[in-house]
Amino acid sequence: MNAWINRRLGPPGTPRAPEGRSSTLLAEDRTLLATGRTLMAADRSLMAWIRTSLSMLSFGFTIYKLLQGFQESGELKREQSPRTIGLFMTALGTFAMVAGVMEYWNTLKQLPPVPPHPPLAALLRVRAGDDGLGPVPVLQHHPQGVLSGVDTSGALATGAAALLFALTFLVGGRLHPLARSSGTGAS
Amino acid sequence: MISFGSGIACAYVFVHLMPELHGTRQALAASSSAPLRFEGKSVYFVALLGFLMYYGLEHLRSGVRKHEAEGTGPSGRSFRLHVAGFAAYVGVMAFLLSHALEPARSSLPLYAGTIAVHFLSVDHALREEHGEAYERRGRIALAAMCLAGWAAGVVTEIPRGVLALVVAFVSGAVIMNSSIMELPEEKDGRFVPFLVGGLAYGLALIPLG
Repeated sequence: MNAWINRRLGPPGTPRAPEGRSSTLLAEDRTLLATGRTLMAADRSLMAWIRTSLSMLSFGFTIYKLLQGFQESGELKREQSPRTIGLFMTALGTFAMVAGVMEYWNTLKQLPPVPPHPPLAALLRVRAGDDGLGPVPVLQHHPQGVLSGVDTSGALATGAAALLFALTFLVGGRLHPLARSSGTGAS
Repeated sequence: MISFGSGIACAYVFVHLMPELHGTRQALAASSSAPLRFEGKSVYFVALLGFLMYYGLEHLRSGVRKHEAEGTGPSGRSFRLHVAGFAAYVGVMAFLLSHALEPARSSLPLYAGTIAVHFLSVDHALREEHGEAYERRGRIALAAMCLAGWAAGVVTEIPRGVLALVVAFVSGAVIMNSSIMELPEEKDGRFVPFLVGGLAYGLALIPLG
């Protein structure tokens, strides 16, 4: 994100309000920076959710094993306790993960279109875009989801071809005996 | 049918992909912000890399297979290696469905038809080589990679220069795999269908471009 913003605004130290620059352009720059900040905050929130949910999941497994040990030594009265507590913690972890992703998704929907994920773009980029605004987008990143930028009719045609490829492997075995027996050439 | 399909794949490589490699070279040169050394001849080198990589994979697999037969190596490695190599291959092929260097109305059916018959040869070769294991897991993995490659192609956009290199790599790999599938004597290849497929499709491709 920083690289993209720097490319757009110039390197650090570049005067942000050169003489004669319209207030509309300045407002656009500020909106862009604010969008970037919001996106990065959303990324951090998602990471926090993921950390929380992974902790809950691993704690669920740990506590299950621990209570199982107590159960085997006869210190635990209820037979189902380890399983119940373990399942509860893992369910809570899964719920936290889903909730975090949904929150992230909702935040993205409220944002204007943002540039692609920088590390991926940096890996695959070979040159700056012709519009001078930055790298050629690699992963189409749209607030409505990645598929919103897809040409539907083209995707359907290529999807049919991909399905044909997949069917070649799935039912290809049925064609081979016929194929070999109908051959006419020399081996 | 298998030999006919291999002939078609070879014709596609020599009559369609090779001229496209020339266009690829121009695309690579145009996409670079700085002048390229040797004017983008590296695409031919990348095609050679594709060829060599799949030859290397085949060679490695034969070695592993030999160890398996002698009982000196763990079993199943040859199968995993073979399927993994071809999974990458079919994934990239499916990815290229959405990324043509020269988008034209005729190119998608042409590409899809050719690659489908080529995949039929691949499927046949893997089935003969690995039998039950391929029937149970391998073909499912390859079919899934076709769909995954396509989905990746739909949601991603790669720069023209990178696409040029991918097309070049795949061209080399197609040449190698068509040869592996058909040419060795023990593969039960039939010359007449191979020749007819190659010539007929090659002649049909000339006006289509």
